[in-house]
Amino acid sequence: MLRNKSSVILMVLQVALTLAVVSNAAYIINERLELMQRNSGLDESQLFSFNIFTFDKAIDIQQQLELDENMLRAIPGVNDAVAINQVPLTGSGDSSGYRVQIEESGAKIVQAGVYRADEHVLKTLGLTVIEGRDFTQDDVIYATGASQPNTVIITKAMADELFPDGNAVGKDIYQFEQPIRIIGIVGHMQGSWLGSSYVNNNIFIPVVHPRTFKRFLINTDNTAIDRIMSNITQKMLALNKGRVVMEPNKLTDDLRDQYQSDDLMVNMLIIIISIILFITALGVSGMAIFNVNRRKRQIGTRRALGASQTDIITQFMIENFLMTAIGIIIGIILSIFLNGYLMEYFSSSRIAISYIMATTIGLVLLGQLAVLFPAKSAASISPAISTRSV
Amino acid sequence: MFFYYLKLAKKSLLKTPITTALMVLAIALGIGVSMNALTLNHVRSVNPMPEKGKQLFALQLQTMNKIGTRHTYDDMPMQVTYQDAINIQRMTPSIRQISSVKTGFAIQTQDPDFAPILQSARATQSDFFEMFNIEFLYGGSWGKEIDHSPDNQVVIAEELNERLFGGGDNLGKNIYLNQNSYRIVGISKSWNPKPKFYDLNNGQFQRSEQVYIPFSLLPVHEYPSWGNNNGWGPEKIDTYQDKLNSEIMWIQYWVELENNDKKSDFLNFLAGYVEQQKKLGRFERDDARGTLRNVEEWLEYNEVVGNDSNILVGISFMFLAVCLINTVGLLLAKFLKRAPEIGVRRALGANQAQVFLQHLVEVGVLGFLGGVLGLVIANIGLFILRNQYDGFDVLATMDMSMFIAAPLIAISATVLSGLYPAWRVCTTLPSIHLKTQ
Repeated sequence: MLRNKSSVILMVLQVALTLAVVSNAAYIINERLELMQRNSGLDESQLFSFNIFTFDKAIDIQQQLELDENMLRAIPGVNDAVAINQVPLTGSGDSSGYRVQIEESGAKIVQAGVYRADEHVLKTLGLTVIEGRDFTQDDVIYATGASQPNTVIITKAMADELFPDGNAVGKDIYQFEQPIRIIGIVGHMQGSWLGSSYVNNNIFIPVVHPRTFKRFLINTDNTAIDRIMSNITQKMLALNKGRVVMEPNKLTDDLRDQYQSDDLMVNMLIIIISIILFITALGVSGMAIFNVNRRKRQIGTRRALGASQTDIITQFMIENFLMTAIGIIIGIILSIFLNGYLMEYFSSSRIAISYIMATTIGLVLLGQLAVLFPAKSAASISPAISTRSV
Repeated sequence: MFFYYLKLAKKSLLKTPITTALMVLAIALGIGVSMNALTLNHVRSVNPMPEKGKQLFALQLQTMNKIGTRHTYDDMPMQVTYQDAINIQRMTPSIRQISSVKTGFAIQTQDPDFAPILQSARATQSDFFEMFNIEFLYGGSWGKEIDHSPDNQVVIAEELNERLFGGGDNLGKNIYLNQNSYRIVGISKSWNPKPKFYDLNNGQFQRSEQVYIPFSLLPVHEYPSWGNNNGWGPEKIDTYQDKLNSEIMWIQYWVELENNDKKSDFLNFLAGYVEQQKKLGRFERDDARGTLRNVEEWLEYNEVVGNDSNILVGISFMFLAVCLINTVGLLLAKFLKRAPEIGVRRALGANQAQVFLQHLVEVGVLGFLGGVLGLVIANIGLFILRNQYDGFDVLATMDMSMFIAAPLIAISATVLSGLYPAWRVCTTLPSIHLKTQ
């Protein structure tokens, strides 16, 4: 081995770099997959939404919203529908801060996504109240200005953050000076911004504003969603032409769009990992073939002196193992260094040691496998070769 | 001599087709993957205003209270309040500066059969066009006086002109924005800076607005912002006037300053403005201040390139390194195997430099082939990206510089990795190999 230092160094370097890249890439892949596999708390496949913009000043928006909702709710296959200010999982919407005491100073402010709609909101989203009660028609306020609600329902995550001791139902929270009573708590729901720290904090406010820009959220039977989506624009315009109705979007598509960059990262890294392993295996094989060819006579002599075929194979396997081992030691240091760099500059987290271990084992196996074929061909060298002069 | 070496290289490469193919493939994959990652990065890091990048500044003001936070690393808000935008402009009339904000309308023409379309629009000031070098097909901006005394005038972009009228000079015609009649005073040439540096709020690679209306119309028609409205404290907003008087930050503000002297003058003015406002009870933080960032600094500040993109470039270049190390190994093996033949050449009078060059040419050919194939692989990758992911039609395209860079990087990287094997083979003593024969 030591007689051919440069090729050993190359092998070691290659193994080290491969280990560093593969272990870190695998770790990032796993981080992203975990992010993407979080439960949204919604049945996205049943939900779609569309935006409307009312431009005709003659329209009484409040009244028109009621008509629209009634029309939508009456479509066969629609479970429920609601006019709403924002749609979860879409990456756009409103958020506000809430506190448990009336004084502004020193109050802990809990940020949350804000959902303003009538009493159909929970049913449309498919959420169930786990504590307290759902909204009734009496809770709903039809407002023109920034009217404050009297009652709200919040998600469990938000309740836990506001009231760590529990029993949030019946308590008051504040956005301004006026108390707002929590009447119910729903389980888990992700809000609009999947990357934000308060993605699970969401608050439902039974106030309907007559805004020119509105969204509609529709919950359908699984099988009916495409049929209903296909002519929803015409149905809305048939009811009133004084607005622009935008293309409907499924929540499954919104969700996919939100995770697009993570998905891209995962796919790119998977491709890089597979090619780098392939290349490294080729390199190991190539080096072994080169060594076998160069040492034909030496191998022949060993065979002539009584070494069995297994001995020759073992010799190459051990040589490969030693080189891989040195590469791995350097590679582990390199991986940790690379991870440290990623942590410092790209807010990644500390790599789990299991990723380095798994990559190490994988690389040893890959190296051994890659060297097996050249080693076998070495073992089949006839001892007679040692007697020839060239 | 070079062509003779090329001939030798061809002969040598064809002699071991499998090794050659493997080497070219390794280089191509390395180049392909890293060029792919680099293209995504490159498109994001292009300066969209190279002519004026150092003269245009985004204004930021630290107006928040002590506990307010923003997503920026220095906690500075990205947008300014309406009151600050109005104040600052009034106090420095000699400096070219504009307020702008995204809004939007349902647009109708006088043709009753034209179905209303929804378009985002930019409410801004007359200097916007000159400041950002936007050219006009017909007409021009509304007059400067409109910035103070509002009037329903509109500039539309080339694309919208096509869509509304099928193109042509339509100056003087009226269109309806939310049923309000606006007179067209200018038709601007298509302008789509990538990234959309002047307003990074909703998607850094969004299309530019195609409707421009005077900023002074905002309080008249009470048009809402279609971008972000960031507040930091509890403020009750009942009316549009409440919003104009509030601490809500929703205006993008740009200043043009030709040189460093003017910049420092303006910064001094801002410091004075902050002091003055402090007396009125605003700007309560210790780090209350105004800052100016030029286009380049602004894009970096907003992390337009993105962490993922940087990580991918880093990892793919490590990947390229592995591919090259592999190539070095294979080259070394190949060249040394040929040492006896070289021995003969040396003995026949070729000097070390010639042998060295001969091998470098061979390596260069490999690099070129790898680079070209890598370019193909990179473009296949980009093609897949464009089709699989939304919004990548802009991001995943190679410009000329990338097309040239790819083979250049490939050749120089392979030649670099071929230096050692070539040196090894030219320094072996010819006598050794001649003897064994």
